[in-house]
Amino acid sequence: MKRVLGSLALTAALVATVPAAAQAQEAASADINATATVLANVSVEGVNDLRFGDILPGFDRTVSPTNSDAGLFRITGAGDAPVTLSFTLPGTLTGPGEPLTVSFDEESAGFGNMNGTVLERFDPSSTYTLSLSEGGRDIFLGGTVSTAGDQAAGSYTGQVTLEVSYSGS
Amino acid sequence: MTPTPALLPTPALRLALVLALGLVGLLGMVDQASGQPLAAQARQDLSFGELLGGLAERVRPDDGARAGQFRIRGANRTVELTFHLPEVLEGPGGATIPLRFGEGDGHFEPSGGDPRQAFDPSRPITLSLPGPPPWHWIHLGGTALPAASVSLGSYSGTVGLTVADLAN
Repeated sequence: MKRVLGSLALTAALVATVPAAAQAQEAASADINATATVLANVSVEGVNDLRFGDILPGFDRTVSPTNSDAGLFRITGAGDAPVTLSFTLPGTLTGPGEPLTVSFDEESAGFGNMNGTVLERFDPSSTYTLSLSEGGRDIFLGGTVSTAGDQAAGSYTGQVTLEVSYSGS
Repeated sequence: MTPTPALLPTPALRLALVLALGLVGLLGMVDQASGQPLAAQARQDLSFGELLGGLAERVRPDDGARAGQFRIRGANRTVELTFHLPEVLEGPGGATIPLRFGEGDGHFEPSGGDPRQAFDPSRPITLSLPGPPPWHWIHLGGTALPAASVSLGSYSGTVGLTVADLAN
């Protein structure tokens, strides 16, 4: 009888152990967040034209970006997001006579907060990146116009386009 | 009562049972001695950054700054990874941004410098974890699909990862 009990105990232990080993399963878990911030679309508005005013034939006139005759664009967007500016500048102004030559240099443009003050100048002929301030910026544009000695009198015009986009993400 | 002879193990069978039981016990000891317990750690959030309405944004799993990162501990094991992926990010006033995860949005980077293995995090994946060192990296990318009329503001969701040891 002793031998029988011993053998049965051994068998029971084996039956109990094998399933436990087969089912032993270890697991671990962790969480992270997925995040995003939706920005307001950037927009730009032409506020003031660039006005060279009255010019006598044979003379040039330069308008500084800090001058009240400077062109003004106003950008609105998200917070302090970086934006890239790209001007499309005319090479001439057209009117009743030969076109007037217009030129821009490395200090013809400027940007500031939306209070009319130029903080820093830049070259409008190249793309330029800056950060918005409290959701906006003013962009000022000056330039130089040249007339010939026999320039026909009259009004001359051209178009300036400013394209603004968020830079990076 | 006399036991039925057929129920009694023969000496040979008893020896086999003893050896089998000993082997099971030995296997258990080896398994416990093979390393530290399986573990998973959150290391970096999945950040879609700044979005504009109507413009989808994909974060690649090899984007070190924005991809989600977990690390898992285990050596010489076969494990199953299961991600619990949000269908949307939730934002202000109940606004949502749909998310999409698919083939190639997951990367398994084993320790020891072996090449990364791309996988689809929307389905469970079985991985063989190589030997020590025991920490391996899991990188998660995905795509956010904000509608053109999406509300401004911050959005978030939770990504869960479960690692289960596929015991032999």
